[in-house]
Amino acid sequence: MLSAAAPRRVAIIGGSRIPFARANTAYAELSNSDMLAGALQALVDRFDLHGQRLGEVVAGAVLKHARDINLTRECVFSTTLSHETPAYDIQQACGTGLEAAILVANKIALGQIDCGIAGGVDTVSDAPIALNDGLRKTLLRAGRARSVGGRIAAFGGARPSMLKPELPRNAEIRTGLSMGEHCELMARRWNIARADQDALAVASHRNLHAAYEAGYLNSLVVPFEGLSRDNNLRPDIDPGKIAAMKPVFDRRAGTLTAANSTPLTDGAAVVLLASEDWARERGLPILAYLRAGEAAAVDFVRGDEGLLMAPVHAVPRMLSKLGLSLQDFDFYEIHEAFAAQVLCTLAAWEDAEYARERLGLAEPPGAIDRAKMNMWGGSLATGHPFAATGGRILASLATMIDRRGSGRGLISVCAAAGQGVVAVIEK
Amino acid sequence: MSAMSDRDNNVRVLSAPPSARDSMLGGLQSLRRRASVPLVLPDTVLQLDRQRLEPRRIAAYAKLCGFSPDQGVPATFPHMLGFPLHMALLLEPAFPYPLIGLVHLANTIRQHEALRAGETLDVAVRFGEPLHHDKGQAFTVLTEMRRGGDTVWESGSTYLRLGVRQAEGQPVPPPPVGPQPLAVAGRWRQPRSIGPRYAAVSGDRNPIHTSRLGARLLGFRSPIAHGMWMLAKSAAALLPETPVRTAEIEVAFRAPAFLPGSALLLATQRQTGTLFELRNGRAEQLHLRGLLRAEAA
Repeated sequence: MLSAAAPRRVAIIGGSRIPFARANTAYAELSNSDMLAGALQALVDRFDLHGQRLGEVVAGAVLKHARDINLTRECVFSTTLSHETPAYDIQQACGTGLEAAILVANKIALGQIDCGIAGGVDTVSDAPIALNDGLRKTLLRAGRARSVGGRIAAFGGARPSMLKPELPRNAEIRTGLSMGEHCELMARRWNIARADQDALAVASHRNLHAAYEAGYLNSLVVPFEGLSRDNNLRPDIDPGKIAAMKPVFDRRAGTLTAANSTPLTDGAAVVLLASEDWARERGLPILAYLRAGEAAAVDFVRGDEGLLMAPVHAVPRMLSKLGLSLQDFDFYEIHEAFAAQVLCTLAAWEDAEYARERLGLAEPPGAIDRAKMNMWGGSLATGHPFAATGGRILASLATMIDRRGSGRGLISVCAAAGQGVVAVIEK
Repeated sequence: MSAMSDRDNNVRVLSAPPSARDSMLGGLQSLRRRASVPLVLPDTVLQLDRQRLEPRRIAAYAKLCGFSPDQGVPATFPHMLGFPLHMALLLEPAFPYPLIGLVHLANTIRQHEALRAGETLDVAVRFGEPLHHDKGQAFTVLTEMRRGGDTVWESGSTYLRLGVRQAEGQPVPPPPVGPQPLAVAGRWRQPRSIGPRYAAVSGDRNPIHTSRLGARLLGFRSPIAHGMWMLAKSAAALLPETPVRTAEIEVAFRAPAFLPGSALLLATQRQTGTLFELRNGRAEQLHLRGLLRAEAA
């Protein structure tokens, strides 16, 4: 598979995203295609890629209409990129964006392509609503029938209840529990206090607000449909009000609230990756290099492990290959699906017994410097359009490293069905 | 729960278990009782000899609770033989509280020897020490099953009489300690019919389990599942696939499970045994938390 003489370094050139919007607000009438094409075009404009044929564009969406079989390729047609740029869709729940970047980076590293765009998009406002499964089966049966009588007989099986559509559910198929309900169990398992979760949420909003005010996000976020900042951001967040909010998943004894859980969000984000030569030939900046990526999964059904704990396993596995310790980083970007999940992740890395029994490590990875975590805000403040989050984080972290001049950053993204995608970038 | 022989003078040997009708009438009559302070629990021992582990009854119980035939006599089954004596003991004139309104707080089961379908056991029940609870007076009913002279199975059922001030005794022991279990060991529907069906098998015809009206009258919005059924259903999922020689099951009951509903059984292996929780289908409500240990026969 190696098309170059040796594997090449993969440069992160830059990223573009549209401001993220809470579901059913600014982008309520937009589709995944509208948003992904918007983010793509912004990236094309920024790096003057008009008419250029790129190695590939890889993106995906978690909630996707059946008609969007070639979502990413169709979006390429909507941009000024060369229409001869190949594209494909991937889906790995909330890991989609980062996994897409790893795929593109692998091809660049192996010399199969010189440049590519990775990203993701999601909309909850324009979520697919499916035909009732009973009605769908009735229609298919009628379609298969060879006689008029057979068709009538097939429709005879139709019931008024079949008119009820099927709505997408944020529930794990194997357990029937929503992600929030799973996270409540994790929070109990790790004794995560409500106050700590709320404090993390407040920090997320304050950090994001500060990053906007300082102009750090100017090169990353492009105004779209009347929004110039993420509309979930509460610059004047009131810790007192947050502390008074009622838990949403376990109303009696729970600790997860609307403030310390990410809201359902619409948005898109993309990142331009390339070989060093490709970037230099065009005089493009190199923010940082994507050094390593790793995915892991946990058995959250039978395995006595939390749904969102896969990154806890993925990170030490990846670090042992690189010969790095968890403390060898200047920045940590830990996706905030829930404040509780971030705190469970940190607690697990510090737990010696867990490290021994679950991670197979003699020593736990240890604590991280919390001041280096999610310095420009996390998903709690920004919002979390599932597949778009990986691209957002990758571009932000690369920009942070570039501003500092050099450094190393860790990305950790948890995903549905017990999965996690993590990466190291550095310069 | 040691030998009861030292209290022989208070032993009353019954010739037959009290009938369901007697228990029900007695239960109603007991509503006239008033709580006495301080609590004095009668030291009566009720004994019923040669009670048979009836294969057909075991089969009906096993089916209802999810035990497979390969698991042999369920370690929770002997409670079926002890329960009528619990009722009789609680109906003793010297016992101060009405039966209706007693809350089943906790249950421990210890099986010391393998049980054989068809064998007969001698059953004895008596009160344990009174226990202090924040919400009232708790006490334990101890059950012992003997084969010849050997105790093969024993249990403690802790009940709470709400609203008694200045409760006597040591504090009620806390539920088993340990982390939140996360492995899904089972998931099932708890249909409306399970109340009357378990009532028929167990003889526990408390109207809060069997009737909508009864549940309403006693302050529940709908009937609730029998705690011992949920315990048995959980144990069925967690015990080995083959018969056990010894078993220890310790359970603290928490929020009632309204019927119909669904339940999620979560478990984790600890050095002390299998720690488990039965929660509602959305995992937000805890119905029971327990610890289970077993040794295959």
